Parts: sequence; C-alpha cells; structure tokens
Amino acid sequence: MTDRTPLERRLRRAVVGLAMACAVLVLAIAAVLIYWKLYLLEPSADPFSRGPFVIRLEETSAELAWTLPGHRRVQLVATAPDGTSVADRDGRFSGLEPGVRYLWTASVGGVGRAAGSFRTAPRDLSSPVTFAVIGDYGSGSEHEWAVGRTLAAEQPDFVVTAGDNSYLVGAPVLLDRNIFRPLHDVMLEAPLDATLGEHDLFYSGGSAVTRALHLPGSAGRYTVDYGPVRLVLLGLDDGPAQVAYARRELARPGPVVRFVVLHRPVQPGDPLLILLRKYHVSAILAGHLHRYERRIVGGVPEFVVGTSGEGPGAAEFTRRSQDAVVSLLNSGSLRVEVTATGIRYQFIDERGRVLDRFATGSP
Amino acid sequence: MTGLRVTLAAFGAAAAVAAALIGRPQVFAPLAVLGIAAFVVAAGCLAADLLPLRRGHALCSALSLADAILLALGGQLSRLPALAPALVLVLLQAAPALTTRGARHRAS
Repeated sequence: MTDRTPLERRLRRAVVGLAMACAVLVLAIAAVLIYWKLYLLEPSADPFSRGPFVIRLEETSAELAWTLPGHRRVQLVATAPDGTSVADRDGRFSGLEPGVRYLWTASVGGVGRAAGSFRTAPRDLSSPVTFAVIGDYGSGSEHEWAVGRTLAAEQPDFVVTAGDNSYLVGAPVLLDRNIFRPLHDVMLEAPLDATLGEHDLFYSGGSAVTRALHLPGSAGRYTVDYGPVRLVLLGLDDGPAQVAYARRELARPGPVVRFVVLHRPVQPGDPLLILLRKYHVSAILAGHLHRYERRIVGGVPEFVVGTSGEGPGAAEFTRRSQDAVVSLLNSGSLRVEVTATGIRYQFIDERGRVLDRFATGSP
Repeated sequence: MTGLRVTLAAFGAAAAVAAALIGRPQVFAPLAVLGIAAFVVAAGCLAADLLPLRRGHALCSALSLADAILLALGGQLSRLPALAPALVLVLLQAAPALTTRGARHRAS
C-alpha cells in the first residue's frame, strides 16, 4: 500500500469512483426497465381474431361464437344477478332463467379476455322486449361506427339487420372491417338477426355472411323466436318462394307479436300484404333505400332503415317514397320496444337524437 | 480501501438492526435504501480489490455486490430473508481481515 506513488493512488481512486458511478448507472437502468415493464407496457393483445359474440338467445339457453387462432381452450361462464353461474358447453349455455340479463366472461389460459352480457328471452310481455333495426350499414364508415356505439349503449335484446351487411360484397376478407369491428360492442350483448341484400348475395349467394354470423338459414331466409316476439326474415325481396315461406311461418303457432323482415321494401298492391294483414303482422322492417322512412303500406306499418352506415349516395337513387309519412337521410337505427300494451318505435340518429316516434296499440 | 469495507459493514449492521426492529411492510424502505447504497459501495470495493488483484478480497467484494441486491429485495419477504443478507454483509467485510490475520499467524 505504502509503496504506491501519488499518481497510482489517484488513478486507483478514479477507478473506484468510476466503478461506483457504473453501479449507479446499472441501478438507474434497472429501475427504468422495471418501471417500463410494470407500468408502461400494454397487456398482451386480444387473442380473439373475431368475437366472442352472441349468436342465439332463447328462453333457457344462449350461444356464443368466436374465432381464436391456435387450439387454445376458451372457458365461458355466465353469471346471473343472484350470483349463480353456468359454464358453457361448446359455446352454449343451457339451464338459464327466462328474461334474465346474464354477465358472461370468456377466459383464455385462466385470464379473462372478453366479457359482455345478454338477456335471455322472456316467456311473456310482463317485461318489455327491446330490439334495434339497422340496414345498409356494412361499409366500415365512421357513420357505421357511430351507429354501432349508440346501439351498444341502448343494450337491445337483439339486433335485426335488413341486409347489405357488407359493401361492396359480402366476401370473407371484408367482414371484420364491415361488420365485426364496428358492431363489436353491441355484438357482445345481442345477436345479429340478419337478412341479406344484393351486396351480401353478390358473393357466393351470401354464404360467407351466413357462415360468419352463424345464421340459421341460407339467403337470409329463416325465422327467429325471441320469447313472445317472432321475426320472419325473408331475404332479398318478396318473390314467390319468399311468400310461400312467409305463409308457412306466419301460420305456424307461436309468438303473437310478429315482424317480417326483408331487404327490399314492400310496395302497395304486393300480394304479401294480404298475408301480413291476415296474420296481424305488427310491421315490415326493410332496407335497400338509403333513407329512414315510415310508411303505411296496404294497412301495414313499414319501416325502411337503410341509413345505418353506407350513406345516402346519389340523389337519383335515394328518392323519397311518395307515400312516406316520414323520410330522413340521417344515419341511425330504429329502436323497437314491445310491451303488453303496445309497440313503440323510435328512430335514433348517430348523435343520439330521436328524430321520429311512432306507437301502435296492443300487439 | 478499508474505508469502503467499514462503510459496507456499517450498512450491513444498520440493515440488521432495521430488520430486527422494524416490522413489515415498513422495513422495506430502509432495507431497499441500504441495499442500493451497499450495491454502489460494493462496486467500488470490487474495483479497488482488482487493482492490484487480491483474490480473497475481490471474492468477498463480489459476494457483497450480490448480497446487496438480496438485501434490497429481502424486505418484501419475511423477516429471515431480510435479516440474513444484512448479517452476511457484515461478515463478508470482516472475512478478508480475518483470513489475512490467520495466514500471518500460521506463517509466524
């Protein structure tokens, strides 16, 4: 120790100081890395490439679907307000109570990765059934996103679409952009009961949209019963095959409140109207014309909701119907509330304003 | 660099007292501060023992460096993981002097 020159001693002290400074630097870097990992890094991305989304609701059962890359297991649990829980079997819950809103969660690898809620179909109209109607929406536009947000906030029991679910065509590659992402939030809680329009049918007869939305019938033609409400979806228009289908389904015993859904509006003098009057159909729900219109056609209320995303387009193709009581170009959706005493209709635009109201008596 | 070793031993002793007297979770703060300070001083001590190289001393300094990390994190666990690194830190500073004295005694 004592035989070191002053220069050597100073040099040694400098090395010691440098080592201590390096230690401080290492600690600072470690602190930054720990902070970054714990508080700045985002959690891992959503593992689902589509959904989960509600596809079917009945009085005592519900079904969800999803797309998850790889072969990871998804565990679904539905919880009632009283705390009782039900586990799924292949995406299907059974043994549920009618008319109850269940919270559901989807876990992957023990981590909850998606959640939503759904209301099972009630047995009767002691509690109202509320649903939304959209049409001509699948463009991925900001108007469609806005309508999707208001729909999610409304928490409808289900959503009816009057066709043209994907523009310009219903090709598989477009469906996430045009349907599943803009309507993601509402699809966490309500099934999309969709009929098909020209744009859906252009591509392989609408099979891509039918498969993606897990629709129970091809070409947008099927029937859905939600407790006391029956929807008869006809598809593109009211041709002979569709009229025959409507006759069969409307005559079949079941729910007393009935709506007919098709893409192209029914016009005065149409033979379908005789059937609709005979079976006391509450209203026709249609799209195609990129307007919101309320009409009375052959004594039956008809709502055209072609304003949920694609926009009005050229004026010559978006002319007001001559017999329309109300005709609007605003983007929005129709909210329908079915109660024991009547049916209330409200057209709600993308900014949340109610632009039209209509009510009918006891269904 | 006796001064640095004495400082490290003082840190170890202070940490041992803190671990013995202060309950969890309050003990985490003093142990973390003492562990970080000990890490910095142990780095200087290691550099001093490498120039010129003194194997035994350098080994103790390297172990002190690792022990300081355990000391800083030990407060999050139970009392034993907090107390043990503090006592080991004290012993590691005494070890070089004790081994040198023993060698001299054997030589004489």
